[in-house]
Amino acid sequence: MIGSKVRSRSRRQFSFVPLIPGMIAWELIGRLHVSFFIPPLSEVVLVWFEILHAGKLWDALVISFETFVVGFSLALVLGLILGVMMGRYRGVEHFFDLYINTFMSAPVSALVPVLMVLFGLGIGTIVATVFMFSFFVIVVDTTTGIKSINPSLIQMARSFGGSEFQILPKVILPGALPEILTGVRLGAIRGIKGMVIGQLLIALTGLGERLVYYGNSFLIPQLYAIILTVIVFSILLIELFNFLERSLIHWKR
Amino acid sequence: MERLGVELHHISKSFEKDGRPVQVLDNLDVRNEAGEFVSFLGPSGCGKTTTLKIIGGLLEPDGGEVIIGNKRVTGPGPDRSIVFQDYALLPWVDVLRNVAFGLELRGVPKGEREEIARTYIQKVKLSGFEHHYPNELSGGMQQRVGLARALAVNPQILLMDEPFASVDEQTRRLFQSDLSDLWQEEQKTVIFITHSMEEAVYLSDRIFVMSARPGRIVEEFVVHLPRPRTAQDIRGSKEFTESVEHLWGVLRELQ
Repeated sequence: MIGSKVRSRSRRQFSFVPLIPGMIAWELIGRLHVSFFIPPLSEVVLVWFEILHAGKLWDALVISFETFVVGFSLALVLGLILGVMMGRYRGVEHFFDLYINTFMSAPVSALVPVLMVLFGLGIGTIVATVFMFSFFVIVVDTTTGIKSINPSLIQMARSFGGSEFQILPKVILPGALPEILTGVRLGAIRGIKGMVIGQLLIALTGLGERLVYYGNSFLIPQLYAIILTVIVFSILLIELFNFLERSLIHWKR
Repeated sequence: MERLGVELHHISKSFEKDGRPVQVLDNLDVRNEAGEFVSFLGPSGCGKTTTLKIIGGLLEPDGGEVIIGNKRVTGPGPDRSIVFQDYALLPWVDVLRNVAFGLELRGVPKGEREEIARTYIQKVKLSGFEHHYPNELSGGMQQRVGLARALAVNPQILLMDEPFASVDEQTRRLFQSDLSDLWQEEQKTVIFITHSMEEAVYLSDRIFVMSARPGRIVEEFVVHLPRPRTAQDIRGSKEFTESVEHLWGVLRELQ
């Protein structure tokens, strides 16, 4: 039993190994000059350091990170609250279910112009876009997690005189934690997508502005450098959540 | 400590199934003396577990009432604790915290509750496993944790819902004799739910045989085996086999 635990831990460690063939292929195709639009990876990396040094990338990163953190934190807090309510109270679930499912499947990108009208051409719209992208999946997974708790655990806690206020933090939330963390991780990934899409459409701030600028100027290595930045940012974030999952739910096989 | 008995007065209960009410319990009238070990024996679906949950205050009867020590049961209380069929252990905390969990919910300070928990971990013979997680234990060991948790809050009445239903036969027998010893030592009133005739005879002072749909008491059977009971001399005795045969006769009639 202890052995299987160790195995499942090591299996989920992040590994660069699968990336190596892809990176080599990219470099080779780039060096063969197949297309102007595929520069070699090494050139992209060099350009990355250049634009980082020039300060433009750094500014774009900071502002993107800020909007992401604000939008995602709002989605996290409100998503958890609504998800817990929906998981615990059938009436709340009945009321919100249709709305949540509609927004889950709706093309949120198409709503960005509407958000722009509501929140203006600044940070507000990006924050709202991040929120719209990540909120609903957090709600859905939290609700699922709460509803999937073994009812006899709740009966057990009640039988020892536990009140709803004790049962929530001691039984329900820890029991739902695996699903909640899945929702939070998916929400974060979608939030990054939302951040980039919002910035692309507004094209005034952050990494999105850089993408549009380099794309329109045909500065292809720079364009890839920005895309790589977003990907690395996502991977770091996913790894952070994987680390959280490993340390918080060590009890799960 | 004051010892309490349990009285069931005309308990009835129905559930809705596919939009139609199904009567689970029909006019159950039972008295359990203080300090007595009583079993409810019957086939699946006879309402044994429902009865236990009503006594535990987790379910409300449609009609009738449960009286414990002159007081009507309106919900769970410190006088009772339940051992669950599926153990109901928190998978994310270790044995020590699981055993202390009832005390934790009742606001007992950490140091004190862990000391009490250690005592009961020892009584159920799980010393050395304090910091293991439930998924590292066998079914029988997990149920020992469940029993220790129920005893740790020091209830007058222990309610056990088919506690050995999902453990293998050897474990079951060892556990039965440990439970018998513990009962002798702790002097609790026990209400025990089972579908095993041997188990009921081995452990109980009295057995209520139940029929299914609606659940009714069809026979009250007094076990005349001496105490303390040890597995070897009881299981081979004539009274034991005759009691089991008698119960089988009653249950067979119900089919």
